[in-house]
Amino acid sequence: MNEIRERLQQVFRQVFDDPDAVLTDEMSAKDVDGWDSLQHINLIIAVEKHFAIRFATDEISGLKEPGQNIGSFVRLLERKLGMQSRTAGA
Amino acid sequence: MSFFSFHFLVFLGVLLLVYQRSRSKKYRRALLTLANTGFLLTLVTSGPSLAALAVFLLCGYGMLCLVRARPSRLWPPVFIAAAVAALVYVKRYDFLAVLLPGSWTQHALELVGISYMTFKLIHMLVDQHQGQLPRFSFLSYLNYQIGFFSLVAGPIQRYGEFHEFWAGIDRGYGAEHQGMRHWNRILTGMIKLGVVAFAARYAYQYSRDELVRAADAPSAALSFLLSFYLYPLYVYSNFSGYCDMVIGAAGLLGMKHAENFDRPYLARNLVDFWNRWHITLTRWIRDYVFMAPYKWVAERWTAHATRAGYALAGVALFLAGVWHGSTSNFAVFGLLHGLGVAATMIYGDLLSRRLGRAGVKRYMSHPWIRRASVFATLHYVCFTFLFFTPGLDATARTLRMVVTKVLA
Repeated sequence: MNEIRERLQQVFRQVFDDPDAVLTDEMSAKDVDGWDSLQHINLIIAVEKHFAIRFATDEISGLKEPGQNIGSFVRLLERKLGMQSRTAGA
Repeated sequence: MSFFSFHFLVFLGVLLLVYQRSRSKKYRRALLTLANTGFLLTLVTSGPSLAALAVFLLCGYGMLCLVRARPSRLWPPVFIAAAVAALVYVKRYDFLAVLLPGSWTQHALELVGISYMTFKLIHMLVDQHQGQLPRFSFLSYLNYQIGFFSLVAGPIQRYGEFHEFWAGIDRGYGAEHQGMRHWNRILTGMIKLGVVAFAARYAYQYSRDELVRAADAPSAALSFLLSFYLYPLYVYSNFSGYCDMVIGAAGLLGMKHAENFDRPYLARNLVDFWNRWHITLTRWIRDYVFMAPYKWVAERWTAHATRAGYALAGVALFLAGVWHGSTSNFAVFGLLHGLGVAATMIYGDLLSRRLGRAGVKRYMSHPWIRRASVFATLHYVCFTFLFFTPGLDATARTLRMVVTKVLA
């Protein structure tokens, strides 16, 4: 599993208080119970803390736009962390 | 020039004909600048108003250039405060009469589209400060700000969407299938505006007059109920029809605007309602009013984050309501929505604590719970629309008549 996605999953499990949550690239806010605007910002705060990065307003809201999913989130994290994008499942 | 007019259709038709026959991007940009400026001039009421609008636009551009050239944490709050002060001054909000000398609000300036321009400017300032704004020039800034599609109403476009269009400005859609879809969208908007909204408004006014004339309780109750449902129908068909026309007309030139409505009267709570009603405004409020203070609180005092979320969401929706108009009735409209959204969030959290995540899912998917939620939300929203018509006195008179003629 992509290392970043795995770390994101840890944060995700904490924020959504769901120890069994498994993230897939296709998963979006609509697929997760309780992923509303408030919880989205809580998730962002936890991700910022975990990865020691800062998101801009446009990036935060962009992640919740239609068509965006966990895959987009991981790609944004990769970009922000300056890492090479890895192919899914590699 | 009104969107729903013969003049506008001629204006759009001529623009499309010339636009789609022009060969260079430079020419299309010049043409659009001319069309936007011409459209704006048809709405400007006086020389001083035009001068004030020019000052507002030039100052906004100057601020953006300064933020780009000399980044500083100081600029965004100072410039945003200046833009909001200009908006409040020009809109002559009722509450200003309490805070400022009367002569300050007795001016004749009417800045066309200043509300939307202020929103767009704040968005550009914040995104530029955070390094997220695509490249801009004076011409792209000007056309983004005064674009006739959403100058005074319609979806609030983000600069990124506009930049995508402006950078690759093509000939738009003429006779292709996509073009027909855009014309269809315009026609849908015209029907909503010219038929549904017109009929709903007429029937609403008739039922309000009937309420005044009603001699017995049943006829008064019927008149009130008709006006109670017809006004929200009028507001929805009027605004969503306008947005359909904006999205369709802009699409003909190849420009995208985000959808602004998603069956709002089927919302199951007030938070859901604002995710379906004037969606671009809700997103703007979320990004530029709610997000920064909530993050600030949640990062420092995690234990208080939830309560801060309720309060900030309430304040944000209150401001959204106040923004709709300068008279005190809009403050009541905003207050009802702010309180309603905060109450919805509190209720949602109580449910989660009591039923757990799986329990809430089961509860929410129950068909009768869903129907009851939609029914209750629709009626709460209809009630708030009693305060959407200018003047608290008129609303108070209506409610008094309901009490004396129906309930007494």
